[in-house]
Amino acid sequence: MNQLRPEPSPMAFRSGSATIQFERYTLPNGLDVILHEDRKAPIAHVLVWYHVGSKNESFDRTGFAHLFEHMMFQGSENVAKTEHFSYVQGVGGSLNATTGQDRTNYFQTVPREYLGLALWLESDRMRSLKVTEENFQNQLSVVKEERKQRYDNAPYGLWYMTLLDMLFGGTAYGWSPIGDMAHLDASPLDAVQAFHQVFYVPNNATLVISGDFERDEVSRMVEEMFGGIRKGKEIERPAIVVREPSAQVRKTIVAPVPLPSVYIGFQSAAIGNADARALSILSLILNRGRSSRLQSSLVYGSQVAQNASAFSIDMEGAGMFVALATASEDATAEQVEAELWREIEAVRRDGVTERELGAAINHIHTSFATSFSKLQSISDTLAYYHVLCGDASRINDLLGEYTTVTAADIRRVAEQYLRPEVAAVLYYLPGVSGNDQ
Amino acid sequence: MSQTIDRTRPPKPGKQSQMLFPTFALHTMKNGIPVYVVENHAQPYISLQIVIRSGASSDGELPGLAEFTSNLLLSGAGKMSAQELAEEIDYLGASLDASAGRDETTIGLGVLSGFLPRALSIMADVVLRPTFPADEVQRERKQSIAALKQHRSDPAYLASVQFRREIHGDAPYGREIDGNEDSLRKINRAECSRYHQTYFTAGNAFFVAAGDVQVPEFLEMLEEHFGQWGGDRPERMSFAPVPGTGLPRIVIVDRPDSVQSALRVGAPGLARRDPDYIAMITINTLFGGYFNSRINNNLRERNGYTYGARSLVDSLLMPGTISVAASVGTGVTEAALREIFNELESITAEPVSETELEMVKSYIIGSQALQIETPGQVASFVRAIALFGLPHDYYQRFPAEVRELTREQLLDVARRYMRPDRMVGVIAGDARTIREKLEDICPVKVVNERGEEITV
Repeated sequence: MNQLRPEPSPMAFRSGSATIQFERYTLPNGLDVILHEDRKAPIAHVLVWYHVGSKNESFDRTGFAHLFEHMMFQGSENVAKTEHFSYVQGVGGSLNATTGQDRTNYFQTVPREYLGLALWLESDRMRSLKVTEENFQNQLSVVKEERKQRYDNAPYGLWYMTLLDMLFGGTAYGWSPIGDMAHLDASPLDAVQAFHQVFYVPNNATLVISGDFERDEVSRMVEEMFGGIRKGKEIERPAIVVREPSAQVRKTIVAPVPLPSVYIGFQSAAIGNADARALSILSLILNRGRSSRLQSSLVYGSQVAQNASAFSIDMEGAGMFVALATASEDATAEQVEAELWREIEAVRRDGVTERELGAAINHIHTSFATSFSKLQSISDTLAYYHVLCGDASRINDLLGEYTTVTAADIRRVAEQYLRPEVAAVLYYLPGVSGNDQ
Repeated sequence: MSQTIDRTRPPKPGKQSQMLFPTFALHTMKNGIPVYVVENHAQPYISLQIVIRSGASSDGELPGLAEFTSNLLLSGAGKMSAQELAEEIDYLGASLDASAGRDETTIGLGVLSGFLPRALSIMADVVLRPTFPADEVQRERKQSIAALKQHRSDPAYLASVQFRREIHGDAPYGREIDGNEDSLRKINRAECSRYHQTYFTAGNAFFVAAGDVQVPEFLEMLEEHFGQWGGDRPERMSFAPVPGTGLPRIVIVDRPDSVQSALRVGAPGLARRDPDYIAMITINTLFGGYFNSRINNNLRERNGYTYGARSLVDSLLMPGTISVAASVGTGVTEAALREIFNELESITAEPVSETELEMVKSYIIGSQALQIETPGQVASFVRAIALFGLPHDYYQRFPAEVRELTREQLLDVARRYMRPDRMVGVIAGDARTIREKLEDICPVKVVNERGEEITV
């Protein structure tokens, strides 16, 4: 039940040879089904993607999609509170769920003979949700502790939500999925059922089943379990129009952190924009391995930084590129910021080398080989490309797509997106809380 | 269209699958180094671990030495500088890293199989011929001290460090793997070299390879790069936890204004090789080792005190600890602690129910099946067999061993290791707010992050 962490966009790439085979079809009630047979191990993975996330919340109800994700474990018509866990874990399975800006996913891996159990559990909570005021209050306090543990009480825990606000404030990407606890306190129990009725309908869901199973038997089970669930209304998807900042925005958070940290964020390319690939390669060139630009200059060269990183986050209607570094003991935030800019400017001015590009592609190839040895990664990538890009078969073209990116593309996207005059710059400085600027 | 089905109960399971632990092979190099191989050609990728059977437990007078030395292995080796080495590895898209555990040090390589020959020759330099350049030692010192400072801003880290101090005292497991400011200032090039020469010997090493390995060619490559490696196995140490007297007791690591308290409640445990280990992890899983455990059901699902609570069993060569860990709101610290003690009381008072036992057994057996999906995961089990000296069929027999456990056996283990009156509770949190209430439970002392007693 994790709230989605800021991570680089999925690194999901084609291996040297093996193509990922899958079948896709749609039930009359609108449920999209993707089946991927893979008999390497006698296990099966069931994943449901609902095309709803924090961007579907209203500005005065932030955090609701994630709280709702918790409620999905609190019982449905035939499954009592927490029984979802006990059924799955009772057969040795594992399960979890995450909430992001654009989607919420629920997944479980089980020994193959319990595939029916997983489908029964997912279908029961899709067709009915049974929540009580008591369970709602209980999960509300769990979510509050989650926010404290992972954000408020964690060193540097607020950087991500702050940067989102600085870059996308005024739009539904302006807050992070964990949301505002005061909003959740003000949410009535009715809102839970209403949210389910609108968003947790078959025509807003994609069911991915992967692993060791008989195709015909599984499609019969899917029909039995999910076929009778009523189709919901058409989902309204208001377009999110992100405006470029008119000037650089700066902010400082003072908190009991050990060392100053600097975060430089930019609006970048949304999912579906080919520039997103060049930006993600650029993040690898800046950040991946000790020989990368930020590591070799800030961390190991001048040593102004204790650590440094860069990554891009792609969302449906927006993208964010972030470069960040934590100062070393004897350096200031200002020094760190200056060196981050120097590296960004160098790419904008001189581009990158073919060798750097090759290293990034080799890394992408390697991460494909590791992540696609797991059903969970294969399933999530299939759902990602199906739901957010409209074409699951892209899973087999990804490495090819990345290899078409040229050094010139990288320089161009750096020039276009990583401009100082539209950046958000955040300082996290050691001190007593409450002295933010 | 869709038939009516009985939704009130879960569908019957399909035909039981036979989950067998995958086979692995053990080869021996001419100089005696064992090479474990898990072959699987599904992806063009190989992971290779070189494991040295010494780690932070061999730090001696300089806590952090094993970790410091392993961090420096990649900072220059053979004829390559740190930067040259990184450029080579990064260009291959490979990962090469080294880190120290309490009992062992691991150098790990992950690489596309086509790039293995090049990566392996770099790895051999790193393991056999590190140069420990002076400027790199200085950089590592500076960064390790800063990293320590960063770790200490995390309340869960503070609680776990103090907890180990309380249980192990001055014994090796009581120290921080990443050392302390004093020791990090003293560690120098000569110390790293000495550590490397003493412990990085052929007699003290084994290899675990997994993935797209072509065995005969692979073994030839190992002979070429590691065939000349010599040296005996250093003497093994032996030690046990010493939690001192005055139990139960509570220790607060003061963290003024903390909005949460990070809790650790625990006691000495057992060694990985102990015959009771499987019973121990079984009762622990039931108690706090999975979502449906007593601890999580109580602290999270019933009371909403925490985002998650769990209990842990160390898996080490010498006896380690068992403990409960949770982060709870400052205002409910006392209530949460009382609930943990209540649960310890009840798990040691009477046998667990047959239903609970059946459920935890199928969880443990089934989750082993899920954990051997990839060659890398299988390799981590094989590594445990090699490191702890477990029988080669350990994981083949594991499901049956779990299945045969009785409620009485679990109660016996719980009574020996989980008695509430033997517990040490460590809390990283705001001492001024929480101290007084905790004194109603048992004696309380307050310490700073170095473990020195203070008054608040």
